[in-house]
Amino acid sequence: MKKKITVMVLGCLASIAVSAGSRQLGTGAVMQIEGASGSGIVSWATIAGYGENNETDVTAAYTYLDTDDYRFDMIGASVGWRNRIEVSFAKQELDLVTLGPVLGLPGASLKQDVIGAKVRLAGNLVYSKMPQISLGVQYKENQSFLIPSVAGAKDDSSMDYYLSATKLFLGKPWGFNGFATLTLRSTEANELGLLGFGGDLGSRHINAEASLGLFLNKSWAIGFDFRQKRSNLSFAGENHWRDVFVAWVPNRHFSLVAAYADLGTVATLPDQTGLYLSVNGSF
Amino acid sequence: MIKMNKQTMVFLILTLVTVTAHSEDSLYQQLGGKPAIEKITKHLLDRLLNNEKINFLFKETERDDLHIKIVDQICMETGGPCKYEGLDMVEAHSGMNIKYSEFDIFVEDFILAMEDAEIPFRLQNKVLAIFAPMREDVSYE
Repeated sequence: MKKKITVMVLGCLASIAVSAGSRQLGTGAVMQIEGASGSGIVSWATIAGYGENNETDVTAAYTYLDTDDYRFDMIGASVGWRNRIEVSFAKQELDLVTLGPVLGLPGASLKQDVIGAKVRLAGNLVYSKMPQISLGVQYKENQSFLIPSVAGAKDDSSMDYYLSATKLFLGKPWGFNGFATLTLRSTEANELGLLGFGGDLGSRHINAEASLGLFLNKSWAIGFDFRQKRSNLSFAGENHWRDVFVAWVPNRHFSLVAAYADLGTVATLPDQTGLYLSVNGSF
Repeated sequence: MIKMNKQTMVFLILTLVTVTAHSEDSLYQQLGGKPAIEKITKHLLDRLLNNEKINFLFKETERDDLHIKIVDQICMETGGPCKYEGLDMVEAHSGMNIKYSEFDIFVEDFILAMEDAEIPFRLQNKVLAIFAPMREDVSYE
């Protein structure tokens, strides 16, 4: 009986796997740290997965970043519906490896849930002259508000809004396929929201994010991300984030991203740099 | 400071222009001319006509006729000495209700056919860039 069920489940999974969307390899991008389709730290205009206007894809991802003083991880899932709408859910956790013991809270971590939605407004990543343009929202709810509230954060939940333009350039530059994203994000978040929302210095800002990269062949891409950040908490000033990444996309069901991230000063601890790893599965 | 007279300047500029012009061979030449395009087209048709997801779209066309038309079109669009004499892309595909997902499968087979014909990645992309805008003429939303 048990065996029969296992076989049935495997059969279902296999049939789902076979029916993954038909867009070209890499066009679903990867899941960024808040669960949206994008690159490491930037939300893109892309819709997750490989679905066309008659197809729907499901993507799941796990991301890990270690800066010695902090360990960050994210587990997320998203649905890309007909290359038009994306809905995502992500759970983030930041382990306070160094700060925890200092605060007398060994083992403490900051947690946040993010529910995201994105709609493609116009354009096509690959085929239109104009870039693909999407509008997204991310509802963020801090799940460990004690430390953020002591640090001066005003709210434990808030909404991010972003407008993003992404374009793939076939054969440019130098015959490679280049890609670029520019995103404007309206946010009240302190360190993504892991330190809550708003503070003594202000609340909502419009910040710019950008990614630039190149497909070196069908399955390998390199690039860099930039994410502007501003401070609401005088206790915990923020720096802009940046990373350089390598992505491996061997097929439509699997991708792997490795990046070197520079987060600057995070919650009073300077020079937070480290390796970022992310694995994505799509069906 | 190196001092240049007017004549030297003109000479240098002319040389630069000539060199640039020569390094800009047409895409047709870079691909390897007609033989390479014949090869790509053969592999493309092998794949398309055996691909159960889209081969029904070609059931009313003769392979030989399709072969000639595709070769002529790739040749002409990449700057070669050919003239495509078939219907334009809108006319040729009207009433077929080709889906974007089917167009994608065609593009994938086209890429694989260029790989079969050993066309380098960077040339593949330049060819795709020429044909990509035809998506809206061929398929519908």
